[in-house]
Parts: sequence; C-alpha cells; structure tokens
Amino acid sequence: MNHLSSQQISECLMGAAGPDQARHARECGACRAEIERLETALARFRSSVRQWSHEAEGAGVYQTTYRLYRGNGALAGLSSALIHAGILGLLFLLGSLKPVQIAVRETVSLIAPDLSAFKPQPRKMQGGGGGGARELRDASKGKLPKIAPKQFAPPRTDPVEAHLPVTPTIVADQPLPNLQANNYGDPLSKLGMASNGIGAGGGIGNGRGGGVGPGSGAGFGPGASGGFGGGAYRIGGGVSAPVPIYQPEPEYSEEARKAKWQGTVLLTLVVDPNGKAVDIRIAKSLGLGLDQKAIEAVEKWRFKPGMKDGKPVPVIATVEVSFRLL
Amino acid sequence: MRQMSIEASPVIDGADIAATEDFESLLELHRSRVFRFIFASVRNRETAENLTQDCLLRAYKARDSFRGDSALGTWLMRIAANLVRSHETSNRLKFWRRALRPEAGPADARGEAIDVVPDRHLSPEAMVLAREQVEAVWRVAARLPERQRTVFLLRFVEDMELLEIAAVTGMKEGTIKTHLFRALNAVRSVLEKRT
Repeated sequence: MNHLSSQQISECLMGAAGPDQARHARECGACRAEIERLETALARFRSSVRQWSHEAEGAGVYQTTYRLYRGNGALAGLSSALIHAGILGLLFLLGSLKPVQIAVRETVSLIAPDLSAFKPQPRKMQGGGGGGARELRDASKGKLPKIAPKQFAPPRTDPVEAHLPVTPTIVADQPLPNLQANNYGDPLSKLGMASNGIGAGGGIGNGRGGGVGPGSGAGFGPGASGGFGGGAYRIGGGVSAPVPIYQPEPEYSEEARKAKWQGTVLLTLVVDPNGKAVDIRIAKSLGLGLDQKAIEAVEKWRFKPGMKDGKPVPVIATVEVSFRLL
Repeated sequence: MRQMSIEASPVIDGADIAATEDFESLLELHRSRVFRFIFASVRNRETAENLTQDCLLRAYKARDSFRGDSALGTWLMRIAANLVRSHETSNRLKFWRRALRPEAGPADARGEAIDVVPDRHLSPEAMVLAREQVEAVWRVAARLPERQRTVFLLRFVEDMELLEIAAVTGMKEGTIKTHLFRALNAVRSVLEKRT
C-alpha cells in the first residue's frame, strides 16, 4: 500500500480516517512520523492557546496598563510630567508673542450698541418767545422775569399795581443770560427809556406773545413757543424727527468722478414746517465739489416735518449724503 | 480539573436547566472556554471579553428557548461562533480600527516572548523551535478565513468531534472536513517551510 496522501493524513489528524488508513498510519513509520510531527505541533499550539487565553482572561486592565511601562514607572512619570510642562510652556510662549496678542485682540469685538434712542432725552427744547405792547420804541434793557413751566402773567417794564400781584414769568427750562436790574426788560436790548417794545400780545420785545424778545410765545429770544435760544427745535423732548419722503440722488461732480473720490458729506439743516430743508450748513466736508452737489440735492429733498404737540415745527436735523462710485 | 469535568458533563435536560436557579453559575463555568475560543478568533483581549460577556448575556436571556437538543457547552459555542462571525462582518470595513488595534499574540499575553510549551524536558534549542512553531501556527490561524479558522480552532484547540462542530457551526460534516483540509494544508505548508 502506498503512503498516505496529504488528504488522508489530514483525515487522520481530524479523527475521521477510515480503518485502512488508521492501520497504515500505525504500521508505516514514515507516515506515523509525519502525523506525529503535526500532532505535536498542534498539541503545542493547543496548550499554548489555552495558556494565553487563561492569562489574558486573568489579566486585569491595571496589569496590562502597568505592563505598558515595562517597569519603567519613574521614566513614564517623568516623561508625562515633561510633556505636560512642555504643553503648558508652549501655551505661555504663544500667549506672550506679540502677533498672537494682536490677533487675539483683533478678534475680540466689543459691542457698544447705540442706546441713545432709549435714553431719556434732556429737554433741550429750543425756541424762544417774544412780546411787546405795540409801543413805538424797542424794548428796553432790564432783567428777565422768573422761569416757570407755565406763564400766568407776562412781564411788563412798568409794574402793575394790584391787590394780589402775580409774579410775571416766562416759559423756559434752563438758565438764561440775565442781568441785575430793578425792572423787567430784555437783557439783550439797548439801554433806553422803559418800553415794552413794538411787539404785541403782552410781554416785552418785538415779537408776539407774552415772552421777552423778538420771537413768538412765552419764552425768551428769537424762536417760538417758549424756551430760549431761537431757531428750530431739536429732535427729542416731544419733538419728532422729520422723515424724508422725497430724496433725489445727488450728482457726482466731474472732478470727484475723475479722482474716484468717495465719502460722506455731513450736513446740518433745519427742516421747516413746510418740509423743506433750509439753513443748510456743512458739518463734515468732502471736497472736490461734492459738498456743493450734496447741498443742491438736499435742497430738493422734501420731508415730513418734525412735529411737536401735533403741529409741524422747524427742527434741526443732520443729514448724511454718501457719494459712492459704483 | 473543574474545566475537564464540565467538558465531560453529560447532556442535561434543557427544561431542567431553564428551571434551574443556578443557570447563571452554570454559564460562569463555561466562561473560560467561551473566552478562549473568542480570544483565539479575534486575537484581542478586550474584544474577546466584550464578546464573551455578550455571549453569556444572550444565553442568559434566551435560557427559556434552550431546547436541550445539545449540550449547554455546544449551545454556548454556537452563540459564540455567531458572535465572532458578526463581529468580523461588522469589522470588515473598519480597516483603520483593525490596523491600529494591536493584535494579541504570543508576545502579548505576558509582555514577553512566550515559553508555554508543555514539554519541560526539551532542550533550549528545541524549546525555541517549538516556540517558533507555535507562533507560526498562531499566525496561520490568524490569516485563515473565518469559517476555516472557526472549524480549525474548534477541532484542534477545543478538541471537539466533527459531529459536535457540525452542531456548533450548523455546517454539514463534509463541509467541515473541507474547511479542515484547507486549514491543515495551510498549517502544514508553513510548518514544512520552517523545517
């Protein structure tokens, strides 16, 4: 009989050999040696795997972790400390570098929202008042009456004899230029004979109403409706802002176009009760003819005028006119 | 010793086992065997521990459905083999995880080269040779396809009979033989290369 084929040897190994092969395996020395060699290898493999498995099963996590260091615990601790110190040092070094600091500073944006719309507005009501008694001369110099929120009696240069005199007042809410004098008058007027002025409506001066000065109302000075300072109202304190309703674009001046000049012109103007811009002044100039173009444009603008107590009043406004080359 | 007695235990009636309060402790007795098979299959201690735990948990949950047509050990090994297979399938695409995870080998279990060879009377040279032999077989087993490796491990590490392997893997005996032939051929070719 021939020697066993590799398949037959495998069958012997796996315990599925037929009786003939089993007998041959017992009797033939070469085949038996081959099978024994393989069986030895497999038996060693088996016992080794069992041993490893047993050890792996017993090996706890700590044991395994400890084995990673191979007994060099001190070295491991030292290198760990060094790594941590290195990282810390690197962070400090990075923080101390100027470009990093600048970069960090640039990325932090402090937000300061514009809260002015929500803050209580100081009543910087401007305006003025005026009066007069239709006399022939201008109002004479004298002191201003006391300030009160409401006027009961207009001032007069010649005191009225009365059983229950009412102290004359004017309507204003801020300290006014005044002078020391014995009788009432217009502090800004010239010295002269006592006169209530050529205005009308009581009070002193050339205007109308019970105040003092050339304006109208119970205030002092040019302007209207009480207060002091003349001119238009400012937005706030019961005065609504004018709203532009017709805004033609400004033209570009030839020089600015050639120079590719861009920017913003800031104009201060008064929106009169008719909604027109008057008294336009340049607050921030741009040059190259653009200021003039901005004024020309704003003169054509129409506003919904600022309102006070439901009536249109002149209001000081600031207008930005932007010039951009597209 | 305890291990041997369990492996040699006769088939216990399934209904009895399910009724037994000590099903858990019965499972514990099989734990090291299950772990050994899974450990030899996946060659990673942590994975093997997880899968062993999974296996025992599944067996515990399904204890009522244990019909008792086979020994408890066979049943457990069947669950373990299925777990290993699904682990391999789910891991097939996880190339990096496999590449990064160190494979447990002869050198892993104790942090140094293994000298677990039963023949204490061997000379040092023969010891080295035997160790190399074992490592070679271990590497071959690691490279075998999943079915061949399972069959190989069940036959030559767990010492199961072909019929028992058939019960564990659900394959026919002829199929198991074919797988074993191929696995043995691979092992033999490596061993012959070394000698």
